[in-house]
Amino acid sequence: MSTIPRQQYLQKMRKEKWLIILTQAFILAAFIVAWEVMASARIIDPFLFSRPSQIIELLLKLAREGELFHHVAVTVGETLAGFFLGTFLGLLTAILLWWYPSLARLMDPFLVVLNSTPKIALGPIFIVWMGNGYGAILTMALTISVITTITVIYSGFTEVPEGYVKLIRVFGGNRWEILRKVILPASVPTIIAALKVNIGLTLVGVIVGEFLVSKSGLGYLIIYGGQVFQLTLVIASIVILAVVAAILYQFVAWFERRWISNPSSGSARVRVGSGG
Amino acid sequence: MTELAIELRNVTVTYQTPKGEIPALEDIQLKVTPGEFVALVGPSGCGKSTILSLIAGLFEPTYGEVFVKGEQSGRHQCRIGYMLQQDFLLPWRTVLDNANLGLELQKDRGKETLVEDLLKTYGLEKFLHHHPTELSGGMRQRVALVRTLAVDPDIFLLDEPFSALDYQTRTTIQEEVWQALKSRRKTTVLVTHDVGEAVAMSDRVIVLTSRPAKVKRDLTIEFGKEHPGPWQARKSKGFVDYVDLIWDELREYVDRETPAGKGET
Repeated sequence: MSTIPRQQYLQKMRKEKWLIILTQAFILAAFIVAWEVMASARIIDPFLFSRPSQIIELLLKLAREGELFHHVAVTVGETLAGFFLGTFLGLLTAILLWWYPSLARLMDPFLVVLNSTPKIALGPIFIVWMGNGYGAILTMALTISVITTITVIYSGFTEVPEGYVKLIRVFGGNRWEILRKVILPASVPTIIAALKVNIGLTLVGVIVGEFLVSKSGLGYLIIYGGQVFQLTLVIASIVILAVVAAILYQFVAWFERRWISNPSSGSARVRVGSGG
Repeated sequence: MTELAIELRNVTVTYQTPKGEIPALEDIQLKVTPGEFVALVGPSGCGKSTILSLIAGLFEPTYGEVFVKGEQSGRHQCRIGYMLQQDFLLPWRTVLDNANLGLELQKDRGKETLVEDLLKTYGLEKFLHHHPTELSGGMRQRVALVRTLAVDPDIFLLDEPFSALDYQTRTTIQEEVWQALKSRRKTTVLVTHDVGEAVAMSDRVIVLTSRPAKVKRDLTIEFGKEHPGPWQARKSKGFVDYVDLIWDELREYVDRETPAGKGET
């Protein structure tokens, strides 16, 4: 049984939520309409700026020919492979650094330099080394994501309160148990934060890789469209890329909701008992 | 002579830091007989907690020897229970799983009912599947007590486990812990800032000097033949005298404590 103030509150919340969604939809629609109108009135040059109707037409054509799905599948496939590999390698390295503190001290300056170097600059080297194919793209994506994953997760490990570690040691637990029972579970929020950054970085790596390798994928479509001055193709590919990025992010967010069954958000609930 | 539960022989501990040496303990002698409840008091930062870490075998003394039940500490077989100032309950585990942690780590299976019974004893039966964040400070410290009692340690080390609790809760938990330990005849070493707490709970109070800590005074506390428990002890007529006596020992340090309680964790 909910009270009347409660119902009013819920109603107000629903109303506000819908108002925001409608406004967002309106902004998007207004942008598209303005673009179309300005292009047909020749206020902007449709050759340089394309126009929404042309983009939709092109997307439908590409979809009919099956071309679109091929390129999307290539990009998504590379991104997922890079993401899982990057997460795995990053987590593994972070664990190694935690396990051997002297290794962490040794690696520290190298990680700092690697972390601040724009990894994109290494692209041409990867192509020479790995050949003009998926290998180079995957390496590019991995290089971009893995260093950040290592640093974020490792610093999460080191921030776990010392008292928890002491607790396990006092009960006779070994280093493996400290890792499994305290360090890893305590770092779940950090690991998820790393995953969220990781998915975006991997996509950056994949697109840059596709720019350079130029065989297939959305990155290839974008660079190809630019080279042949077909801006409609460039913008259409970017639109699809944005949709892909949003879906991939949602995939991580969904994973987050499933993984954290919200024990620590219990603070939102009422504390029970006086303890006295 | 009966075997000692804990013995520290000429123990000196010096911490090495890049900035220099920090002497923590100097030539400490300590003997604790089985079933005895000993409190360590001293100015903050004097190295009281270091003594507990030594007994627990977390590290070795710079000089001297630490024996637990006649064996060199760190290699001893007997189980040690350690209660800290914070309860360190794992927030992602339920109350029941937290209380089971010790048994889990000691690979002691088949005692789940024991843990549940203990939790019931301390009025936590309704919260078995709750998470620690939903519990009050006193209840959390009770879960920590059950977690330690469950592994049935021979020796209990209490590192200011009551200091984070409010007065009412503290008094109740002190009584509960004391009853739990005395009824099981556990050897206990309590580190505390609270002189009243030390006198009320223990059979012996050891006053330490400021860093490097030396034993300044070893004071046997007696309230009749049987210790009546902390609650009754506070009302006994000798209580205030003991507290005054220890305060006099500590007075000289009150105004010149070391800036921060470093090396005390």
